[in-house]
Amino acid sequence: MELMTYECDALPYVREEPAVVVLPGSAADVQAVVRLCARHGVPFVARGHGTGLSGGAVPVPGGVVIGLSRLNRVLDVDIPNRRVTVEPGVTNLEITRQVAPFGYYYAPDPSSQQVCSIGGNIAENSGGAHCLKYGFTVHHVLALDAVLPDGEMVHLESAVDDAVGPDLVGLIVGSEGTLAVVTRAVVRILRKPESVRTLLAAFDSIGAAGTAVSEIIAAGIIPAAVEMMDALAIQAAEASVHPGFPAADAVLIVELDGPSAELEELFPLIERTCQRTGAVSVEIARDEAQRARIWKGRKAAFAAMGHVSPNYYVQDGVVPRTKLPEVLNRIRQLEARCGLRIANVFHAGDGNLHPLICYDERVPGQARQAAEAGGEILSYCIEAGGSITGEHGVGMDKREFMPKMFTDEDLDAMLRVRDAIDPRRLCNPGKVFPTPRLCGEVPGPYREHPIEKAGMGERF
Amino acid sequence: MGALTGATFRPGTGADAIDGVLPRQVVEPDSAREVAAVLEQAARERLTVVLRGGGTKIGWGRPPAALDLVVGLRRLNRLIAHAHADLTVAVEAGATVAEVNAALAGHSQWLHLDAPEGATSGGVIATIDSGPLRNRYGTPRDLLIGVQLATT
Repeated sequence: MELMTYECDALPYVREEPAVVVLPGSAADVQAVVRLCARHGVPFVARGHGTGLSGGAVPVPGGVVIGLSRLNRVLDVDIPNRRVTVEPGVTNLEITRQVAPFGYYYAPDPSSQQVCSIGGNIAENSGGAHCLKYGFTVHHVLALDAVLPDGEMVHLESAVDDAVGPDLVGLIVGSEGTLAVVTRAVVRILRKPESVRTLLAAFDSIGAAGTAVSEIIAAGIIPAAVEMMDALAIQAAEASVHPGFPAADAVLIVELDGPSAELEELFPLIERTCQRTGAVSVEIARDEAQRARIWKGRKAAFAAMGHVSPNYYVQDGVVPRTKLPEVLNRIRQLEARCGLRIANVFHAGDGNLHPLICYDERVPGQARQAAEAGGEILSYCIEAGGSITGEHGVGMDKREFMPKMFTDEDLDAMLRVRDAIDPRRLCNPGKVFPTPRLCGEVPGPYREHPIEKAGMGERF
Repeated sequence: MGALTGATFRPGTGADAIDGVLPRQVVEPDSAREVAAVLEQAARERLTVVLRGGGTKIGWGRPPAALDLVVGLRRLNRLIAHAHADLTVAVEAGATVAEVNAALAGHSQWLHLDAPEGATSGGVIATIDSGPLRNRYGTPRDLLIGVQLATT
């Protein structure tokens, strides 16, 4: 019964029962577990707090789940050097809480930051609404301790911190748990900006909102965040958390942060740009409470879909920002064709799109239809020169799209790296890359062929 | 070796020496395809190869024990696309940072990198060569969002 908690992450329709779940209490424990798995050829999956949206933490049948929630200590807070050392089970927001009294914060801010773990953030290279200006997890990890699939413990330093040699930290971050189990991370913290100003602008079309964003970027301004929501997403947010958003076709949330003098100069430009491109209303947050209300409306957007639809499926794709209007048009046409409503929330500054596909699982076939619509939207993203994932990862959910985005040579190069580090495919196998089903090749504990046992051959 | 790839090979001269070691041959391909063909053939013939961009960091590390071929990449210096509204640029790796910035200046944009004069974008990425601008803007690694590679 207890194993059921570990059957899936936040992608609920893929579940597998693990053979064993282990909850190590220390890095040494983690290493011992991985060594044991390596000795017996048993596959394992590292798991943070289970908030992943691509099935990256789904267990391998017959395999081990290594749950890292007990490794939740903040080991060191070094304010003068702007670094915090944490175990992987520490939540994203906890890092900020530790340094907030000193006027600092940890920048990558996924919407799940109250719950998600830094280890999970590292696996997925998580971003968040402020990634336009501040980058992703990979830009904020200075060093890692990790256990490799053969049980070896390594300490890696990042190019962010001027380390020499190949950027192995950059390799691990975003590898979705397929190369190592991170047991410790050193992350960098930033000084809280002197000022923050946020506005909410309503437009009568996505196109007009998109033009506003383009003009802001063209003016050389990089806002801390630029978020867009369409009519259905606005409706859902209003119904659920009542942020007081106007009933418009599109809203834009633009936030600037930085030195007060800089904001004095730039914020009026943002305001004027929104007005010039046809904003029907512009609301500027007067105080922290109003700013929090505006962000609540945006951050609750996914969960809010539950108020307008029995079920919904979140997709995650990226398009070059200038292609957003074109891709959104195609999504509208798809909506009309398949009869499922699709709300759109996106990081308009960098083109990361989150279509929320509404369906009712009680209607036969609708769940599958929603998944197919999600897949079709990914193909629009690829065709527009974008990517199949902005932040949620490939995991299990999008493996079959990898060959649509990459050539065989590209995938081969990536697999060579993976196989160099995990030749026996024990470390979160079956994720990210589509696995061809050759005869006899099934996921599960590694079964050594008699020829390999006899030392006469190797499996590649 | 020259006949198969179409690129012109020449013997190494004093100007090509790396820490006093003269390469037997030097080739300067002018397309990605040609680079791949040169590397493939060099691998087949088991030649030791050094890649050279602007040569600003060619002296880093120990002197080469053997040096069959220097592959000069300066002829791969085309601007492939400047999507100024997306804040991205695609360039061939042999373009110097200065050349790229000259092209970006038309839209008041730039690559915020300290690069020695003559350093190529490929060389800067290969070495994460950085300077004081790093304090504000981060390293070359933070600017890289995609790459095309020729491997052996």
